[in-house]
This record gives sequence, structure tokens and C-alpha cells, in this order.
Amino acid sequence: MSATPDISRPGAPGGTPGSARSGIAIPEWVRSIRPGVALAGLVVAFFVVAMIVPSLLTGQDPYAVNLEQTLQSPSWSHIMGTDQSGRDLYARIVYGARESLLIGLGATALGMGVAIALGVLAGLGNKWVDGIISRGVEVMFAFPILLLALLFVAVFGPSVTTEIVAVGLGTAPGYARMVRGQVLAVRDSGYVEAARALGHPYGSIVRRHIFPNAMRPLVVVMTLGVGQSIVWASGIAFLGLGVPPPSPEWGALLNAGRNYITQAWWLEVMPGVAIVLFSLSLTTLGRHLQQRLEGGVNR
Amino acid sequence: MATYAEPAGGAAVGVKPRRAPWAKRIAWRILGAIFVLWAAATFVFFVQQLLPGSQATLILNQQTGNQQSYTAEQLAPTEAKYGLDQPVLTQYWDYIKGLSHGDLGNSYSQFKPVTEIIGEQVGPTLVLTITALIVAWILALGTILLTSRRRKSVSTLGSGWEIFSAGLPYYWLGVILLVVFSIELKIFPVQGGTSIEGLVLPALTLAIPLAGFIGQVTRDEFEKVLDQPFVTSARARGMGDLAVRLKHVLRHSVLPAITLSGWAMGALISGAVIVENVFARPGIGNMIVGAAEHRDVPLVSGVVMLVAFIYVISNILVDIAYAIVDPRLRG
Amino acid sequence: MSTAPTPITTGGLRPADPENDLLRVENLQVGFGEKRNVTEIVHGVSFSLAPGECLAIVGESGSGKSVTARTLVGLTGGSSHVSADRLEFGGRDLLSFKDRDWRGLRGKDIGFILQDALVSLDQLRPVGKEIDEALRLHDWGTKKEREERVIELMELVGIPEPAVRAKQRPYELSGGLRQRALIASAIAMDPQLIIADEPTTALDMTVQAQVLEQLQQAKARGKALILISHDLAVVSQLADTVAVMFDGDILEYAPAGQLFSRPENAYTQRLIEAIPSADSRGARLSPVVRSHSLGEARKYETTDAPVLKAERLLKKFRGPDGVDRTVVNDVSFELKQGETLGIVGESGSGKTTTARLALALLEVDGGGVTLAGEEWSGLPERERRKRRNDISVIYQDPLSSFDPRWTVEQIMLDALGEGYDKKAARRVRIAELLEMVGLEPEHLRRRPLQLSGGQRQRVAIARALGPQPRVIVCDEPVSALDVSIQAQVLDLLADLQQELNVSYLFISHDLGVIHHISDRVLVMSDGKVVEFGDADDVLLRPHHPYTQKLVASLPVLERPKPTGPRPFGRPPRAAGPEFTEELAA
Repeated sequence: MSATPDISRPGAPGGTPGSARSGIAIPEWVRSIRPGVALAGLVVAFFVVAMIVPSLLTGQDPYAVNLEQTLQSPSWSHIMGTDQSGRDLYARIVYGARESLLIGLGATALGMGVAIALGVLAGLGNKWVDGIISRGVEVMFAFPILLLALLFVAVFGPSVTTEIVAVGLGTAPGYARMVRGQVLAVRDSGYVEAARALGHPYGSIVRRHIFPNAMRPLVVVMTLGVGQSIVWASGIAFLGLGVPPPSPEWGALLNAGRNYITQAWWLEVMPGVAIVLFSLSLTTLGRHLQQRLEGGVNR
Repeated sequence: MATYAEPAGGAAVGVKPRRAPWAKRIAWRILGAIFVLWAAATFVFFVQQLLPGSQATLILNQQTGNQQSYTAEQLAPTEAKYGLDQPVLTQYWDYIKGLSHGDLGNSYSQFKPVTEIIGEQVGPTLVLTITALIVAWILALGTILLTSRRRKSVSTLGSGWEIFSAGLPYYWLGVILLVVFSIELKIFPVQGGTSIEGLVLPALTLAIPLAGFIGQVTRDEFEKVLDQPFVTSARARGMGDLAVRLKHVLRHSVLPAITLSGWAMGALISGAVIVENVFARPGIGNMIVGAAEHRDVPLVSGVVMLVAFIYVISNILVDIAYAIVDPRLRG
Repeated sequence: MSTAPTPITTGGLRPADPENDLLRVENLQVGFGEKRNVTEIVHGVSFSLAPGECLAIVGESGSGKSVTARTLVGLTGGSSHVSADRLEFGGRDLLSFKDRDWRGLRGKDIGFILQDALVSLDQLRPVGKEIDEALRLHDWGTKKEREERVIELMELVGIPEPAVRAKQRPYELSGGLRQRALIASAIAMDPQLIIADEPTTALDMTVQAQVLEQLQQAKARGKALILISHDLAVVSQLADTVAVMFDGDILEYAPAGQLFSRPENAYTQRLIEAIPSADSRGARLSPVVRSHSLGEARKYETTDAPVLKAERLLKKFRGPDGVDRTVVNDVSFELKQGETLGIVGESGSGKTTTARLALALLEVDGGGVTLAGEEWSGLPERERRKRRNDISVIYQDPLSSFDPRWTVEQIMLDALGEGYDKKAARRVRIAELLEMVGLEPEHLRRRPLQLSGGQRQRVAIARALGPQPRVIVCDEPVSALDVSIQAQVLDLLADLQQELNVSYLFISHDLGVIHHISDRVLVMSDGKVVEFGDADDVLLRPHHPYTQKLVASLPVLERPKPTGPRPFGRPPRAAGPEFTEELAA
């Protein structure tokens, strides 16, 4: 028996919204937020503020050199300690958020843009178009992000642009494959066929059904993607191949901190914590979004 | 009502599978692999051509340590030596021809053929990546077998750990492991070289995030399969829980993870670049960073092509593994 | 019946017969959930079973019948709470069972057969190994002895060439052979009790008949059987006793003969009356009637000329192995306005493809279709689009045919066709359509995911009616619905045909449904038309051997024929107060 439970109880379909007892109607999406998700949201909000208005979060100047206070361990005046030039680490991390986030967003935008273009063309096109684009995407897979970055650095020299382009192009094939899969699934779905049966022209079907339904899950993927991009971009900087000093970009901080591991472990650990925390929070938010989307409207 | 396509006319008689389609598929795969390699090489060559400024100038500057521009006569001998005075298409043809013979050109900074340089350094890296892959699989499968669909707290823990570990950057994890186990606890050597003890921490650093990734993908599949009717049938025959997981569910759920492994080899070598850097371990990872800093284009390109080659081979192996695990794909 | 007749009361306990009874269940309760959030699914059911007796537990989805059966083998799942006054099998107290005890019981003393061998057997393993597993788990015999026993078992269930088949995997076998292999694996250790959970659902009719035959043989060998099913007709072939479940309770529990001829409970009566068959032609299946107004509905005139005509349709598909298969082979039919043509066949017969060709959603490789007297399949899609108003479609699974983001209102707006520019006109028309199919205006705001199966199908019907079509192609529209909802939907379709004089091209694998609703019938097998004619002619007096086989495998519920005329639209019988909310379902 196919699973369409027909529960013949009074008032079964369409659940009644929660508490009628309290006077305030709490929307369902708010109630579904678990403590972990709320925490993740706070972290992300923190870093977004750091990106836009860093001075709100710290009074210190990240570039202020103070040779009398070098390599101080965490204390009340410097909550994360200072680096080899006496600069406050916490301030550097906060200001570094702007650089790192912008690089991450840029790379994700580039990667997604390329991926959507390729994926949609492959998914909607005929066998030949699909075949050629899929082959092309397969070739892109053969270039891991870091190696692509190294190639670009060897040819163009280290820079922020190199970072962004390398990470963007490196992550694109994964997204492209996903987009293509989504487009194909929707193209072959029952409601697209039903729309054809109703007499809607192809262009209208693409616009009203295929595009919105195929792109919907990508919102989640993009959230996860930004975190990933930041991780990779920082990795490139960690190797000394990214932004030049004295930029407080997180990867650069990691690169600088390496030399002081034994003396001042916080210089290496703290920026890493920032990266991991941010990436993890984005992942949590992304998964929460995914569950909401799938449980509610998407099947 | 499941309307599946029945073999027309009822019973399918057990005939021996014809040789042709199976062999044909392998042939197609190899052809596809060659295409991918050619396209990759073309892309690399294309990127090389985008070099701002003159390549010969770059070489001379790198070799002398200066940062100046040169006249055409000064550049001529360098250009001739590296074949840079030829028309582009000839260069391209030579490049492709060279690749098919395994010749990756000559390094700009070290005066040796690229293949030689790579050959000296590739060993430890391969050892590292293969070890990491195996360890990752063991970790992932172990976690899933033990924590999937048990008491809610246990399985949430397992799932949460996978998500967390998958997002850990190599550089951070490596540094933490280094600090904790090598520097503080002094269990493993700080600079292990190519010894076994020196392999443990780097391999773990690569394996843990990959295990998280494989784990996530497999766990999703595992849980779906646990709900399938044929699993209930096995239980109804009297099979215990662990046996059901091992004998029935596992085989069905590893398929996506096998696909992943094909991609994983390339990603692992990429990660090895960072890990070798963190642990100061010899290998092509360390070498290639220096090469990039010195703008040694042929050397970097050589490694990139090598990785592409490894990636392509891994994928073919994955296809074969797939067909072994799932016989439905054989015919 | 095996023992001396014991008095059986409705919904109550059969007096216990401790010496003979194999299974005794008293006040069984099953709940699901975590500590404080336990929802009770089964509210205290009682029944018993003697060796050689067959008990059928019948009910619709959500009745708890499957859960009840699974308590007997301890497979209700991790979050389940099972309690009872008595749960005994062969004198052993099942409530005290630990994991080990269950593993000893399952497969050896109680065999459990699930539905649909395609998903109930491990696709990656040879069937011989699956059967062997049942033996190995209970330490039966040496490897060689087991091999021989597997062959024996396969012969017992009637699988030809067992040595060859044992090495094949489920997808290499036909539906019937697969199902037999599944049965073999369940009875391998010769258990005293065999439980079959929906053993015939999702199966072709001929395969269904084979399965029933196997179960019949097992019963003849002295095994006790418990059949779980929603299909009363299937159950009537085998059952000695029937328990009808609804919403976690047993509403009626009586010997089969008595239950089917003189049902005492109103729900049982409804279930029996809801079964579509040759006998129910022209009559309503469900007691629910809704009133509505015709409004602006256009009624098409019936003429001599057919509204849909297919001539020598041909369609080929290229399989993944490069081989061309002819899926529709020289199929012709015609459909008049206001008439229902039923297309019946088993899976792989090509009936669904024929429907898509009629809708011109697939291009024909040969032959042609005309719609309302004009060329249809030969037109380019550009031209066809303008006339798509004349023909629409209802699918088996409405959920996948709706855009998941859309509300019912958006779905209806989308289907309106031409001539509704003004917002007011649209609203009126949508209200009209809703009323026609028996939905409330409040449903407009909901998404299909939030509706029940019956409601979704009504939305699908409303959408199909939107463009005021002459023909509606119904592709297995009731196959996924519970019997009582199926009855309501079939009644609705019949009502609409009467009011609007619309034609139906009705595809189904269920002969009973086809016979109930069709004027003429087309029987398909393997892409070809095997028989075509009036419904009664073809299905009561079949000529072609395939049709005969098909008709023979249809389980018919023996019930007394109605004495007087049963015109359509007769007043509903007095439904009990607990069923009035069905109107919206």
C-alpha cells in the first residue's frame, strides 16, 4: 500500500498553530530554533558586524605597534594576547574578519556564478550540450583548489585576486555538478510534465518551475560554501602565498604565528579558532536552513 | 502501485553476460581519461601563456635575484634555451608531445628536468596520502557501524563529530596535534622525517577531516538503508543487529563513499601540501610551495599534471570498485 | 475451520482454547515515542489463533494492523512500547522476550513475509544466499545439506530450474519468481506460524494469484497463517477468521463467511461496499454524497464521432544497452464523448506509455491520434499547445505532480485556461471547481503536503477540470488510495461524468476498478492490444487466453447480489456519527 496515510480523524490535516494560551503568537520558525543554532547565529552575526563596523567590537588599533608589549599572553587588557610587534591579537582578528569574509564571499560568488551557468546549461540542454559541459566539469575536478592556487601564484604572483580566483574556480565543479543534478531532477519531475499537459510554453515552465525549484537548495549550499572558501583562502595565506603583511587576514595571522608556537601558542591557535568557529557556525546555520526547507515546502 | 519495467515476456533466463559491453565500457573510460588529461594539459598551458610580462625576464630575474628588465638580446639566449622563441602553437605541440612521453619540461630554478625533481620527492607524499585514505575509511566506517541509529544521544554524537571534523582546516588541526602530542606530550617527534613515527600525526591530520566527510555521506545512506524492507526481512529471519549492519546494510551504503574516494586522492595530495608544511615533512608538498614562490612554472605545472593523472587513475579504479560492489552495474 | 465451531462475538474475545491455541493475544497496546510523549497506536486488541487456522487482519492505512503483526516478532522498532495482558505464542510469553529469544523465534517458529520482493530481498545478493541465510542463522545442517535444502525449498514454492535461479539476483527474476523466493526464505525453517504483511500489494494480478496459491498450500500443510491486508477480496480467499481494524481498535472479529455475508459493524459494511467490481457497476461505492451547483460548467454533446481516436500507435524506446524495445505496438482505440474507456494491463504492458501518447506528451513513432475530429499527434507542439484545453490528465501520485512550493490556490489559478482575465471571474471559477470536487475554500491556503491523500487527488481532479476538457486521461488515479477514499474518488469521477459529459481514458492494473467504471475496455499485454470491447463482454466472457488468465486471477469477494435496481445517485445509507467527517477527506 503506497504510503498516503489517510487519517480520518476530525481536524487532522493542517496542524493548528501552537499556543493559544499565551497572547503572543510565536511564529513557528522561531520556535524551531534550538540553542545550538541560536549560538551559531550569534557567532555569524558577530563576525558580520566585525566585517562592517569593526570599531564597535574593539577599541584597539590592529596596526598599532607597541614594542614594549610584545608576545604578551592573554590578559584583561589584551584578551587574546599580543603578537611579536605588540599588536593586540583580538583586534587583529576582528579587523581581519573583513578581509577574510570578503575573500570568502568573493570566491563563493565566483564559484557559484560559474557553477550555475554551467549547471543550468548542462541540465536544460540536449545530450550533446550536456555531454560537453559535463566533460569540462570533470576536467575542472582534476584541479584541487590548493594546486590551482599554486599554479596561479607561480604564473601571476601572490595576491588577493589569485586567492579569490583560485578558490572560486576550484570549488565551482562541485557546485556545478549539484546544480546540474537539481535541474535534471526538476526537469523530469511530475509537475513539469503536468505543466506541459496544461499547455504552458517551455520558457514559462523554466521560469516558474525549473529555476525556482532547482535553485532553492543552493541557498543552503552557498552558506556552507562561504565557510569552506574562507578555510581554503586562509590555507593559501597560511603558506605565505596570499595577502602581504601587515594585513590582519586570518590566514596571514596563522602564517605569522607559526614561528612562535613554542613561545606564544595563542598567536597560532586563536586565529584558527576564529576560522573554525565561523565555518562551523555557518555549517550549523546551513543545516538548520536545509531542514526547514526540506521539512516544510520542498519534499 | 510500483510500475517498474518488467523484462518483457516474464522470466529472464540466466544467460552468461556478453563480454562486449563490459569491455566496451572500460575502453570508453580510458578514452575519457585521456581526454581529461589532454584538456587539463591544455588548460595549464593556456594559464602559462597568461603570464604577465615576459617569461624569459622572469627566469633571469629569479636566477639572478634581480628585479630588472632586459633588452631583447639579453633575453635571447634564455628564450632559446627554454624554447620560448618558438610560435605558440609549436610550443603547445611540443608540450603535449612531451607529456605523452612523460617529459614535464625543465625546472626554472633548479637545473634539472621536472620529472627528476618530482621523482625524488613524490615517495613520502604518496605514502602519506594513501595511509591517510585508509585511516580515514577505517575511522569513518567504525564510527558509523557503532553509532548509527542507536540511542539518540549516541548517534547524535557520532553525527555531530563528523560534521565538526569535516570542517576542520588541515593547518589548524595539524598545529594543534603538533603542539599537543609533539611539543607538550613529546609522544611523537617534531620533525619526523620519513619514519613511521613521523607518519602518524601528518596522516591523522589528513585522515580526520576526510573521515568526517566520508562519514557524513555514508551515514545518510546507512540510515536510509536501515529502513529498507530487505533489512527487515533479514531481521525477520533471526539476524542480529550488528550482523545486519555488516552483512546487508554496509554494502549498500558505501557506494557514495566509494565515488568520493576517487575525488579524495586529488584532494589529499592537495592537503598534503599544507600538512607537509606544518610538520616540516619531506615531499612534493613542501617542494611545490617553494617552487610557486620562485615562480618556477614548469615545476608547479608538472606537479599539477601529476595530480591530474593520479585523479584520473583513481576514478577508473573507483569505477571498477563500484562494479564489484554493485553487480547491477556490470551488465 | 479446524476446530469445532466456537461462538464468536463481534469485537470481543473468542473463548480461549488453551490446549489448541497457538497464539493468544489479550489487550495488546502499542505506543510510540519518547518517555513523556508516547502516542498510542494500538488501543488494546485481542485475538487468538489455532494451528492450521488463517486469521486476516484487515484495515486501511493508520489502522495499526501492521504494527500489531510486528509485535508478534518483536519488530515494532526502537521507540515502541508494547504491553498486553497476555501475549503468548506456543505457550511462551512474548512480553518477557529479550533480543536472544527473539532471534531464536524469528524465522524458526514464526516466519514473516513482507510485500514486494523487489525491495524485500537484498538486491546485491543471490536469492539462494538469502534463503540459505534463514537456515544458517539457526544452525541448520552442514553447508552441503543447506544447499540441498535450498533447492528443495525452491522446488516447493514452484521455481523452475532452481539450481540456476539460486545464483541469480532478485532483479534478474520475474515478479512471480521473486515473490516465491521471498516466501521460500520465510518458510525455510518450516515455522508453525506464517505472517504475511500485505503480501499482494504492489504486485501484478497474476503474480498476486501465485502468491495466494503458495499461502494456500502452506495452510494445507497445517501451518497457521496471519494475513495483513487492506484488500478484503484477497483476504476472502484464504481467511477462516477476519478481524477488522480501524484506528487501533478491532471493530469486528468474526468467522470469514459470517463477516462477509452479514457484517455487523457499519465500518465493515462500508469497506465491503466500497470494493469496485462487476457487481458495483452503476452504483455508488461510498455513502458520502455532496451537493453542488452546476454553475457555468459546459456540457459537451455526445455525437457519433469519437472525441479521441488512436490508430495503430507505435512507440519504441532505446534501452541503456542500446537495444530498441517496442513499448507500444499497433494500438488502436476510440473514445466517444461522455464515455469511459478502461485500459487494463500488468506492468510493462505499455498502458502508461499509451496514455502519454494520447496526451501527446510523447511523440509517436508510428500511427496517429486525433482529438475532437482534428489532427492531434501530428501537429507541432506550438499548434498543439493552443488546444491542450481539450484534454487533461490526473496522475497516480498527485504529490509529485504539484510544484512543492505552490498552494492549492496557485495550482488552481495555473489551470484556469483562457477567458479569465478579471480577478473576480477567476475567483468565481475557482470556487466553482472546488465545490465540484468537494473541497472547502479553506483548502486554498494550504500546500499539497499538508493535505491528505484523498484531498490531494481532489485537487488534481479540480486542476484537470479547470480548462474544461473534453477528455481526461486518468493514469492509475486511485491505486495509491485507501479503499474507502478510493470509493469516494471513483464516485466523484462518475458524478462529474454525468454532469459534464466528459470522457475518461482510465488506466489501471486493477480489474475490479476497471470493470466498475468503464463502458468499454482495452486489454493490453506486452505493448499490444489483446482484447477490446464492452466491459461486460470482455471481462465476463473473455476470449483471449491472456484476458482469461487475468480475469481468473482476480479475487472476487463472494457476497449476495443486490436484489432490486441500484440506480446511480441513490440516497446515502445512514452512516454512523463517527464517520461524518469523511466528507472532507
